[in-house]
Amino acid sequence: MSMFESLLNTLETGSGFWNPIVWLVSILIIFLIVHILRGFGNKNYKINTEQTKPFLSGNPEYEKEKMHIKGSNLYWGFTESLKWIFDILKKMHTGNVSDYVLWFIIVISILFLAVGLI
Amino acid sequence: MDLISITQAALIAIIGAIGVTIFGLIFGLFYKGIDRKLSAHMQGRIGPPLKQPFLDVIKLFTKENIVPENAISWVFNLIPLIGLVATISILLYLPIAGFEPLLYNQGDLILILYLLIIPSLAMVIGGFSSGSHMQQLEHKEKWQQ
Repeated sequence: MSMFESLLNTLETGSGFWNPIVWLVSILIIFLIVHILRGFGNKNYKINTEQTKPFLSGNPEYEKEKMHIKGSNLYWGFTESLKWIFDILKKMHTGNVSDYVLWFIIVISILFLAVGLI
Repeated sequence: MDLISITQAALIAIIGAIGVTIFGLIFGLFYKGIDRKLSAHMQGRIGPPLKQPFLDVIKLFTKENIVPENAISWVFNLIPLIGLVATISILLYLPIAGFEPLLYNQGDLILILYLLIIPSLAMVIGGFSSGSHMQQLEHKEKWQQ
């Protein structure tokens, strides 16, 4: 069987089947129709006016870097309410490798003790 | 599958896609009208006329297609179409009015489930591509869910 023919085959995995080529052909046709229909709409707008400015409830927009919403902004409530545990965890993460090795040895020794006792 | 049957399937896909798109768009809006009328009657209201969704589409066509200055315009314009195309392509794998699906031997339920995810993904990507900070906040929360 040539490579072209194997591409045309319906893919069967035992638990499901689909034919990507037939699907691609159909979505291309649907896309064309939908695109033509969309073309009937109004394409114009006023470029570089108040219309295209981002909506920030009337607040001015600062530089793009400053306006980026970070993960810490989203998790603010979460980190604020669990501040006590995050403070302890931050102190434990010293960035010193010997500290991490020490923690590793402590955890391993506890594990060995637990396994030995059971 | 030999070349003849694949050509046959492709022909069904082409003709079926045209038919199903027209059917889906018209009946989708018509059912929306029935839905709005029915829920209005349930709440003791008269409700909008059945053709209201069609009138809404005509009105929306007259609105300006604003692309925000922070937006990635090609993604912003393309993604809504992708969402609609994926939704319409599901109709090819579903039985319509008692007839068996047009592509009944070309795809299964798992494919339908995957295609159903595309519109919501498209909404998230479209929101991100608008470059709006409000959208970013909203969709980051959505991704987490």
